[in-house]
Formats: sequence, C-alpha cells, structure tokens
Amino acid sequence: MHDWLYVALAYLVVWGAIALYTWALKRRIVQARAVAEYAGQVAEGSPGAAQEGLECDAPPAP
Amino acid sequence: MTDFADRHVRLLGLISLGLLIVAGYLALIWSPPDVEQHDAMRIMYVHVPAVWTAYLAFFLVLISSVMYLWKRDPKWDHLAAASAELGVLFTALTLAAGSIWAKPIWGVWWTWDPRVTTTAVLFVIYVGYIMFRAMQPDAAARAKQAAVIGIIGFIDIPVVHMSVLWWRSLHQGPTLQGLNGPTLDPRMEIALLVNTVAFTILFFFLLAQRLHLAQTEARQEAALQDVLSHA
Repeated sequence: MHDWLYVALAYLVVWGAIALYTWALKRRIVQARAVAEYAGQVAEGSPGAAQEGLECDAPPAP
Repeated sequence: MTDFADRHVRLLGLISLGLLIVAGYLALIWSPPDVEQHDAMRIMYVHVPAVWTAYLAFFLVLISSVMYLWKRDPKWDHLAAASAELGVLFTALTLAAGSIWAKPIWGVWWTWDPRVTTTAVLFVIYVGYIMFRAMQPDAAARAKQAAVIGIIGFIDIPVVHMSVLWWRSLHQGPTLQGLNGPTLDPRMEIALLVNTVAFTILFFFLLAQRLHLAQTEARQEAALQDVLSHA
C-alpha cells in the first residue's frame, strides 16, 4: 500500500505535468496566431486593427 | 500550419493518447511487481521513457544547431528552440519521477549520486539555453549563439549515461544492456518498450505543436519589426 502511494504520486506528477504543458502550449499557439495576425494588419495599415486589443498570458517565447 | 499538417498532427496526438492509456495499463496492472523493489518499481515505466525522450530532444537540439550553423536557415533554429523546451520538460520529469522512486528505495528524496547530479546539471544547462534565448533580442545573433550553446551542452549527455559505469553510484546500471542480455522479466520489458514508444510519439506530437509556435512567433517578430521600422 505504501509503495502504491509513491507510484500514484509519480504518475500524477508526470502525466499531470504533460497535460498541463499540452494545455498551456495550445493556449500559446492560439495567442501567438492572434498576435501575428494583428501585427500583420497593423503593418499593412488596416484601419480596424488599431481599435482592437489583444490578451496574452505571457510575452513570446525565445 | 496547413490543414494537411494540422490533421496529421491531430492524428499523432490521438495515437499518442491511446498508446499512453495502453502503456499505463501495462505499467500499473499487467506487469508484475519487482522481487526487491515491489510495486515501487512501476515508477520505472515513466522515469526511463522520460529520460530517453529528454536524450532524444537534446540530440535534436544538437543536430538542428549544427545544421543552423551550416545552412543559416531559421527553420533549424526554430527546431532547436522547440526541442530544447521539450528536453527541459522531460528532464524535469525524469528528476521528479526519479526523486519519488528514490524515497522508498534509497530512503531519501535526493542524493548527490553521479547519475542524479549529472542529470541535474543537464537540466540547468538547457534552462540556461532557454534563458539565454530570452535575453538576446537580435534574432540572427540569438540563433547563432544558441546553436553554439546547444552543441556544447550535448557533451553532458554521454556523461550522464556513463556516470553509473565511470563512478560509484547508487543508481542502477543499464537495464537492458549487459553481457548476458536484458535483466528484466519479459513482461517488464514489454511494458517498458510500450511506454517508451508512447512517450516518443507524444514527444513528436508536442514537438510539431511547439515548432508551429516558434514559426508563428518568428512571423510575429518580423511583422512587429516592420511596424517599428515604419513608425
């Protein structure tokens, strides 16, 4: 029983971290696409682009 | 990412999820407990695949870095950045799972054992790689300098792997190698192999996604440079 607690902890940490990373990565992709599109519109001088804002969790990854 | 690539990446994700479920069943239910380590040994089925995946990721960083310095094509830099991030993730998981395994077996959460220490050094090297990339604003300089770091950092991989043979270590030696062949029960070997394959496919799924992110951010950086230059 004692050993199974450690096994459960290890699997929770590993699978939980992978699931969390996958979710965060998906979110970063969605936000990066929006920023890239927005920046492209601003660069082209699109009239609507300056009116809208964008929400991001964090700055771009290196 | 085109629809074609998107569909295939999504399929890869579904395959990896299915395989992880099967691998989990084999690891937690189907395979037998160890004679000495009992059920605590089941942590091996995530610990060993995690370290294998980290090695794979850093090997890709090495190849991409060499290719970037040779061809100066940004796609190699994007691949290196994506692989490095995943390598750091899987190295962290290796250390975490290893620490949890160490407590019931060695009686401690941490020890300055050669294998454990060199793996921690590996983690720090590539965290440093990522931090360096964050601090360098010039894309071309960042790519070139990161490539050099990525190549030098790989030197620690053979040190990690050989540490159990070169120095006195608490950590067990190679599980599947040896003059007398594998030392595992065949069911353990199958469970370990399936988990390793599952982690590898998961890695390539995450790599495809992370690479897409790197390419999108490069477009973003170029568009912002364009905006600033016309401001």
